[in-house]
Amino acid sequence: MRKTFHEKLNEINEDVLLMGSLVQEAVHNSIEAILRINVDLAQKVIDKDEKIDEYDILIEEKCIVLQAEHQPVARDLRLIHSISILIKYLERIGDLAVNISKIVKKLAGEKKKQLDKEIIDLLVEMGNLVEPELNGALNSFKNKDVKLASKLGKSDDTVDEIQKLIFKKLFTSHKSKENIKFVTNVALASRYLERIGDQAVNIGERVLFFLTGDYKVFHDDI
Amino acid sequence: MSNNIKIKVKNYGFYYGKIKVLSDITMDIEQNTITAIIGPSGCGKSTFIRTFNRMNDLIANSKVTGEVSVDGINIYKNNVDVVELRKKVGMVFQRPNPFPKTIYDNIAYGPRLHARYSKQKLEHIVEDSLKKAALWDEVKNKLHTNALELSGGQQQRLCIARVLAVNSEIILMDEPASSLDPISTQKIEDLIDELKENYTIIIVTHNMQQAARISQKTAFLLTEKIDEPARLIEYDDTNKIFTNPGDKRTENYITGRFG
Repeated sequence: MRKTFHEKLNEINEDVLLMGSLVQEAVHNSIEAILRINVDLAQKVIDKDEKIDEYDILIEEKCIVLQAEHQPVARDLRLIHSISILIKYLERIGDLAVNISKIVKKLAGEKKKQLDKEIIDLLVEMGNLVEPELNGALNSFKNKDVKLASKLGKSDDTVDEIQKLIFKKLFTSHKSKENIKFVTNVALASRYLERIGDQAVNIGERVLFFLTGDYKVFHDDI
Repeated sequence: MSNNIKIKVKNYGFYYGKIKVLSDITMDIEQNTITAIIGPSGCGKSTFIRTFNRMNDLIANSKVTGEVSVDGINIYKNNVDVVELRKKVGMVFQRPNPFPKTIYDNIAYGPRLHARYSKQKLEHIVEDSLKKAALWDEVKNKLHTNALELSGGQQQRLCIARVLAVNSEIILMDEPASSLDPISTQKIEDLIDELKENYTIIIVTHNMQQAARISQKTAFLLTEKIDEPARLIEYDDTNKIFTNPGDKRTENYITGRFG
């Protein structure tokens, strides 16, 4: 009986990791797509989001059934509870990657089609901080790594600063009315990227709760 | 000693002949709480719970070491009146064991042993006990039928009512719902929860979810090696034990990784 329970729990773990890898791919591709205004890659992110949403529902259902059948306690309960929450963060990250990808499609239709080098550099810098946050969150879950989960959130302030800088640069250097849509969309994309970082940190908090039983909040999620 | 400590166990050990089966148990049991005793089969949970009303005295060659105090009085001192102790510390067993008598006589039996009551007073005790045990509405019209005609769940509540009739302060329950169906089990659990307002309850259960549902404190006993006595591994708030136990052995047991 318990073997079945642990087998099912392992299966859910595998599902989370598969969902996580899809989300990692979506984030990576959405960043690539916006840096190069690559519509094909953006479309790929949008199309694949359905699979992420399917995993979200599938894993949630499996968690509910497992709880109903086995009434897990202690670490097993914390794991299932944490998974039920962190898949929502993953699903949300997938949506944010889709939002960025939709912006890519909009930007491609604008008169101004290229990002300024300065903005590209800042977005690259942001991506270089946000992607490792997400990878770290998923690795801390996969390897049950308390140390790694504890380290997450450290670059959060830097990401926020870069995002503010992008806003500032966009709205001071593009004052002409014809670029207003372009500027707003790029600003929004940077905001979505920043939110991806926040959600990755939320995943880290959940992993820490699962591993230690303690609630640790890295930042105010507002 | 804190005012709300009802039972104090200090360096408690128990021997069957020369074999030590329980060792070094120290714990305080608070008044008006439900304390669950959990642990693998054969680890001495029932032996431990029977300590509190000296039921183990009936076992030849058994020996208790350490101290067990109820309301500050060491119950293993020679001058303790065991009959009075068992009145104060009532017990409900795994299988309902009503006397082959009427429902009324089952309840009135204890009070009649301890004092001489008027018919009116006895009727009041019977009604009051059955009400407290949430059984009155089901049996009030058949008080003089044989108790063995009741369902298993009703019989178990009758046994609880029997304990309440003698004004016990502590109720020991040794797997009280393990032979009952889910609805009867729920009724017993609801009853136990209500009773904690006025009684101190210690319950042995194999059902982890039951321990998690109804108790405020949980004690985990474990025999780690064959031929070694069981010890108290962890004793803490039930919420803590079932969400984030402090000891790996507790976690392994309650998550079904052994036991």
